[in-house]
Amino acid sequence: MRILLIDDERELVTTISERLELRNIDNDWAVSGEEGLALLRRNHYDWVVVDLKMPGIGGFEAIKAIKREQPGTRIILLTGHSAPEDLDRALVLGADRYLIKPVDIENLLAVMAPAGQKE
Amino acid sequence: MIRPEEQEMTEVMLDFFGRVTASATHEIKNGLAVMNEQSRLAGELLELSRQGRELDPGRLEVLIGRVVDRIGQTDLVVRRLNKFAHSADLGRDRCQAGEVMALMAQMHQRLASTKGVSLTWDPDRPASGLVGKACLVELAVWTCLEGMIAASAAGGRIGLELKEEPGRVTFLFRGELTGEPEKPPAWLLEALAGRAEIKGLEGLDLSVPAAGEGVSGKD
Repeated sequence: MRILLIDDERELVTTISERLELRNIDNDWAVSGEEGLALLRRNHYDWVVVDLKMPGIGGFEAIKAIKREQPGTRIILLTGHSAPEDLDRALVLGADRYLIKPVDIENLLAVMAPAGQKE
Repeated sequence: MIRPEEQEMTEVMLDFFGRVTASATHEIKNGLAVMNEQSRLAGELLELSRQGRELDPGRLEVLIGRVVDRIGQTDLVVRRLNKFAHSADLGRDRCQAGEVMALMAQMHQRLASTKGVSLTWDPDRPASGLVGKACLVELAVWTCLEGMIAASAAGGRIGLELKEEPGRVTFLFRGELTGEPEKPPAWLLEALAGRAEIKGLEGLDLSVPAAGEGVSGKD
């Protein structure tokens, strides 16, 4: 499994990345939607975890671009708040799930596990 | 019976308080999320060392240092939010222009950055007395900032300054805009005995009467 993490909070993505590495999970990270999409054009990812609110290309735009570039890639929207209309929109655009920060990494991995994919 | 203008004022104020608190709590939540990840990572590294993996004390030191830094940053956001909340609940009829400028700019910074716009202001600006309720002056400054950001292109910069003249204090909002910024609503300017003047694509000025002695701006 290969994961791409996109969040403008550098300390958050780098720390989640390190925690995934401790679990031997292959991952890359980006601190903007633009950087994330550039990585997506060069590599294949099974899952993309993307923040909703970012300068430049935000979460919604990123979800649309991910679905265009790699339709098979599954997406988890990471958000600091839970406005129902934002979450509904993310799901309509193609996100598979959303998680509210702070995210428990075991919960994140459970969502990505095969059983989680069926939820 | 609530008059239509009072109804509008109440709705605008509620919307303002809602947006400011939503933005601040978003920042707090982000801070907590980072601290959560970093402290859990530290715990995992310690657990691995118990299982025999070599632990780099320098790595742990960096992680703890980052958590401490983040506590400080998040505490600042909480303090700002607390200060903002008190501007309404203490019902101050006077406030300090320098404090309002700094507080509103700080609380607007995240929203501006999500649109790719940067804000600059002089944080050491000496305080100036103003007539007008703190929450109304804050709303007027906030509204001007929103207008400036809406009229800025991504990558734009907005600067805030204060100008003091006998009897008046003026907030100067400047940038390189793609359109004219919106002024605060007429009822708000009337409530503050203030004036707003559009400066073309450069920005706008918000001018309010200066107060005398006895400014209450601290709690």
